[in-house]
Amino acid sequence: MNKLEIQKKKRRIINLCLVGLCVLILAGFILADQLANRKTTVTVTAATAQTQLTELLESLPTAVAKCSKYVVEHTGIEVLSVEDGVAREFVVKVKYETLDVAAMYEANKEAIFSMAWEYAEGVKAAGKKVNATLIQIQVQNFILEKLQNEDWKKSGECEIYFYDVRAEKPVMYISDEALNNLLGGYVAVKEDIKATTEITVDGEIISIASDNTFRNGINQCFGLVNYDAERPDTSSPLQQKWNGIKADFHKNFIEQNRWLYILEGIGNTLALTGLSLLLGIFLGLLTAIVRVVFEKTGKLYYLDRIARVYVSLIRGTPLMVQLLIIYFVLLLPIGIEKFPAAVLCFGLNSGAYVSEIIRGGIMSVDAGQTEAGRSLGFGYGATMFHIVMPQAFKAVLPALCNEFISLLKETSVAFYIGVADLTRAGIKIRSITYSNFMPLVAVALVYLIMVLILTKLVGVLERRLRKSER
Amino acid sequence: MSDKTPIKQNDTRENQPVIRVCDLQKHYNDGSVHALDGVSAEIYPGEVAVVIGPSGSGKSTFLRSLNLLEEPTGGQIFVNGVDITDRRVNINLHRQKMGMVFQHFNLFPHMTILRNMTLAPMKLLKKSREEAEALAMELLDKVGLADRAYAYPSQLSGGQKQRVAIVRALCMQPDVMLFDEPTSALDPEMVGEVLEVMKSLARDGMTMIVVTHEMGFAREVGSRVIFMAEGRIIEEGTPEEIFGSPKSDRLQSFLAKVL
Repeated sequence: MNKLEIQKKKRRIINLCLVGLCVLILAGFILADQLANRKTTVTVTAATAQTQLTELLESLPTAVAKCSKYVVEHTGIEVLSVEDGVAREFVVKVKYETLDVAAMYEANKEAIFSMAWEYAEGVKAAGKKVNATLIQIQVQNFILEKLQNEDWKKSGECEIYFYDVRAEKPVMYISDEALNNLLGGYVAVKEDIKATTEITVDGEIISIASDNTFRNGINQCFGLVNYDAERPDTSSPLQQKWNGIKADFHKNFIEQNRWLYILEGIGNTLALTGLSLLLGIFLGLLTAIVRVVFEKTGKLYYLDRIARVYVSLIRGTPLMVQLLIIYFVLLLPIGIEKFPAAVLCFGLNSGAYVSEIIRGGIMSVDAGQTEAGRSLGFGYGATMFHIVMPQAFKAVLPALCNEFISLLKETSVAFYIGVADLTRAGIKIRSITYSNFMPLVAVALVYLIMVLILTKLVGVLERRLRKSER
Repeated sequence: MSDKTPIKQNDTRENQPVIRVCDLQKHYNDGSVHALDGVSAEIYPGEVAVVIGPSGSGKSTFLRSLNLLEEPTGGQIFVNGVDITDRRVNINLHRQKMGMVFQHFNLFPHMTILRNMTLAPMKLLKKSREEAEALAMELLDKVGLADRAYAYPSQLSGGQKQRVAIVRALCMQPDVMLFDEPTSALDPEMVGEVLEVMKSLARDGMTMIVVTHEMGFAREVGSRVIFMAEGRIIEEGTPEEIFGSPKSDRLQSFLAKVL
């Protein structure tokens, strides 16, 4: 066995050890997670359940909601039993007694709406503005009267849940349905008000589909503090984290097909980069030729000056500033769209850099090549075209590809003028979901993957070029 | 072709000169350096003019001036009676008739040997591909490189490259061939094969102007030897005169060093 083989074997052993270590650490995490997931000492008794329920009921109506207060005051809840549910769950059976708000609403719906509508019309006729609170004050007295005048008593049984979430206290969870039952159909009524688009006043059908003020006013009569509970997640800490990530992923990419933003962004970024590079290569080639011709023959003096100013302007100012100036100062006033403006800006920008690359490539071709071409009778242009350029191009191809890669990343500033590129896709998703991690890291990953693929391609290209040289 | 065959020395003095150079000047750095300082010479059809001299004597500059790769700052060059230093003359057309071989071969590395040779005839003489390739293959065969037609220059040895460079120039069927130190960049064992090609070219009656350090070649093949130093022609004559009885001190000391 020679040294190289021993070294290889050593390396393989070390790699194996590293993999083993990773597996051990992972196993440790899972074990710790399972230990942490054992049931804690938290228990739920009928008394504590009763206290928490009463507290909740008291906290539900807002101060100005007279009807809600009245309903809650007439609602009684009595805990019947507490049972152990599956895993970390306690099932609490309760008996409730409340007012049948839903029945009251059903019986008086038309009257309530007509009354509210006539009142609103009256206010308008008096030349004042109608707002939701005015309607609420007027209507809730009417509803309260209705509630007090008749006996709406109703009772029933339902289940609520307590969950052990490894905290000091168990967490209570009342499903929407249970809450609705406890409060005599209160939630359903609110939903119904929200969904009402037509009302009948004196046999006349009136559309209130677009009149949010009106509907809100009536809805506020049934004012409750939003009890917006979700079933607590009692899975293990590791599982919870994973669930969180999954939910985050779902929210950022799957919900409402938000991944389409990313897809559109990739398309736009690639199109922007490709078109800019084409423009850049064209401009760069032109600039490079002008400068080389001037350098070698002294012709094209003025074009050379222009080319120099162009290159130093572009290289001497930040890309972002160029983009802002080109779009907002030069192109927006003459009505040019964002995307072409961005292509122009990045094309101009990369043209300056490409020109330096190509100029270097032309200069790197041996002067003897030009002499050989000229001595055969080719003119300057033909020598350039047939002999110098192909060699120069071959020499700078890898550098051009790298320019393409950096251009790809640089186009991310295009979001500043509103081009829907990949970066903007991330920002857009972020502004909808208020998540930072998922959209931004996803965007970074997509850029990374694109760059890695391109780098790989450049590598292949470079190797193939070298092979043809031999 | 054996090198034992005596090379026919044409007496061509009666004909019109192919190239006539009058008082050629080349100044660098605003006249402070004189690369060429009044060179006058005539080259006749079928002649093999060998230019020798110490380095820095201006012999390469002189040769490169003949097809205006160096632009002279003064004097005239007449090729077949036309003053090519005149700006109105299309120099590209004249260069087609003046083949040039360089010290460093200057083959086009991105093309095959065959493409190297057919590029100019096809683009400039508007020859068809078949025609150009037929001529190229014939010439390659002559220099024994027909089997390398589809190789790239980097796959060839120095001697092979220089032979290709010579036949590349010949593909344009020039009237005159200019050689700029064609063997200086070669390994010693490869010098022979290149000189052999040049000798056979001379035998076929090609007008050649050769800048070289190969005194053997100058003596054997040259119909005329031109000795240059400090941008001037010091002495010229037949090889026997130059090598047998050098007149000037400058030539004597040069020959003493190189022979």
